[in-house]
Amino acid sequence: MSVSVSIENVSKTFGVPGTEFVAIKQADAQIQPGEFVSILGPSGCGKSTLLDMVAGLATPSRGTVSIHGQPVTGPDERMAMVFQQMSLLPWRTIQANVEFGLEVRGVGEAQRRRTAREMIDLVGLNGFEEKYPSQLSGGMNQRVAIARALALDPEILLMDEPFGALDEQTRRIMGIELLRIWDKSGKTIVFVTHSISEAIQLSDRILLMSSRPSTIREIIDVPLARPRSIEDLSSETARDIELRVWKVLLEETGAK
Amino acid sequence: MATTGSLLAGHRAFPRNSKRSQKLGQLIFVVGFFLILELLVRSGILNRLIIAEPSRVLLRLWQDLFTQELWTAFLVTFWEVGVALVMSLLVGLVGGGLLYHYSTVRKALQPVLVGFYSAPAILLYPVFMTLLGPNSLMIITMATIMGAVPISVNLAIGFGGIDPILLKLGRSLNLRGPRLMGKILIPAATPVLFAGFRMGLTFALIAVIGLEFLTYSGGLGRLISWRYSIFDSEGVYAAIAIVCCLAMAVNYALGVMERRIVNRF
Ligand SMILES: Nc1ncnc2c1ncn2[C@@H]1O[C@H](COP(=O)(O)OP(=O)(O)OP(=O)(O)O)[C@@H](O)[C@H]1O
Ligand SMILES: [Mg+2]
Repeated sequence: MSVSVSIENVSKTFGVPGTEFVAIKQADAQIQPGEFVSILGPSGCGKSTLLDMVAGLATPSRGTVSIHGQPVTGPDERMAMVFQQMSLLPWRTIQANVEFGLEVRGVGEAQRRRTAREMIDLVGLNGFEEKYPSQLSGGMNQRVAIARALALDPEILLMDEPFGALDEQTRRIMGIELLRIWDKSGKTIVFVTHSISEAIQLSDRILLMSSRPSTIREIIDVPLARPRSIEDLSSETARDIELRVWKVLLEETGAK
Repeated sequence: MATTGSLLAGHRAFPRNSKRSQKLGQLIFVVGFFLILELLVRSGILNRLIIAEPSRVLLRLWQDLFTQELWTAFLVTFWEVGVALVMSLLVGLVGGGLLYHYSTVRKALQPVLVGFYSAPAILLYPVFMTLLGPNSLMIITMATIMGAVPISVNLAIGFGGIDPILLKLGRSLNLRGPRLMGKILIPAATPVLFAGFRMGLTFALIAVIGLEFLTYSGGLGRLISWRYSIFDSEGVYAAIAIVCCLAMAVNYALGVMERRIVNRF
């Protein structure tokens, strides 16, 4: 099986030489096709920076990111990104926002409309098609952004804390939805989060990032059966994983 | 910049259900205002030489419409305003583009240009009088400069202030050049751009009328000045009313243009 996303010895520094700032130092990871991988780490550790480099939106200062063995040199049609920040176009309706990526890629109007409706339905925003982003809540807007990315039907879906603005309950439900989509489509998903339970709920593996200078400190397998029930998520195995994650994180911060 | 901020809030975010009653309220207010004014002047509380009764101004306005004097003045002003508007739009767009592109120039010039907003730049007219003489060319030149400043500053601010995440979104979809312009940059900057156009057009209009008034070189400004000097207060207000109509027409046209453009996004 060929590797879907390969992160090899990647470092990223910001700023000019002399006063430069090392955001990521020698990160390594291989992500298999169809895998659901979470990037977990404390705030400011460089999760978004790493994801940007995978997306071709930032260039590594050292090392390479490759997709199916080809080095990433810029944004690629096989990938779509859900940004951490609110990224909808305020002058477009929800429908037109979801269609945006397709429109840019030159998909015909009828097809575009149909796909967008399906995706809006999928994220549970039926009836909001003609509303504007300013008329929806933050969490709803984030779901629109997810629909926009899904509409592009990317092979690799990059998601930067997509459920960050949601409450615990909705977050769980959206997670289950996302897993359903993932299961049906066989997409590779790279999912940034700072929630340990979310990472365990969703992923095959967790890339655990350390704080500065950040790197991928450990890769933790989540050998829970799928689909994962609430019982599975509070099973002994799940608790062991959580414990391991905590230990690494606390070690990082120097606490005991 | 604070004036443009409120316009940034959203393009079509608010429902229009209360628009009718709002219009009605405005109408009642305006009619009421003129009614009270009429009563105040008629009862002698306000001096007729300072303020003419609205009814007489209206009558005078009607009579004026059949005079050569008014139409000659109107055409001169209309022509000057028209040329100045087009010129300030062109100069403003080019200047704003340069200002946006050369960000160091922007940082250096922006405070000066923003200061220009509030400075009574029209008082520079003696300089231009000396250089060009008291004629239409001088008026158009000054009006163009005054109109171009807010247009170019707002263009630079509008493009410079676009949320970086939208640019990132564009990049992630490989949008570049004119397509990036059309799909993200222009729509995102439109509220600020049009606030700039509005301000620029208002400034240009003020400059034209003001300079006609000051230099006595023709047009509605000169007409107002002349009528003022012969204590023809009805005539003054009638001419002012025409200037107001012109300003409203220009603003309305701009509003229609903005809506057309926004609807195409
Ligand atoms: N363009 C940039 N220029 C300079 N420093 C940057 C830039 N982008 C990010 N950084 C720095 O790199 C570090 C990592 O930032 P990043 O946004 O990747 O963190 P994160 O893990 O996504 O945080 P969060 O969980 O809060 O989203 C931060 O210290 C940030 O200040
Ligand atoms: Mg982040």
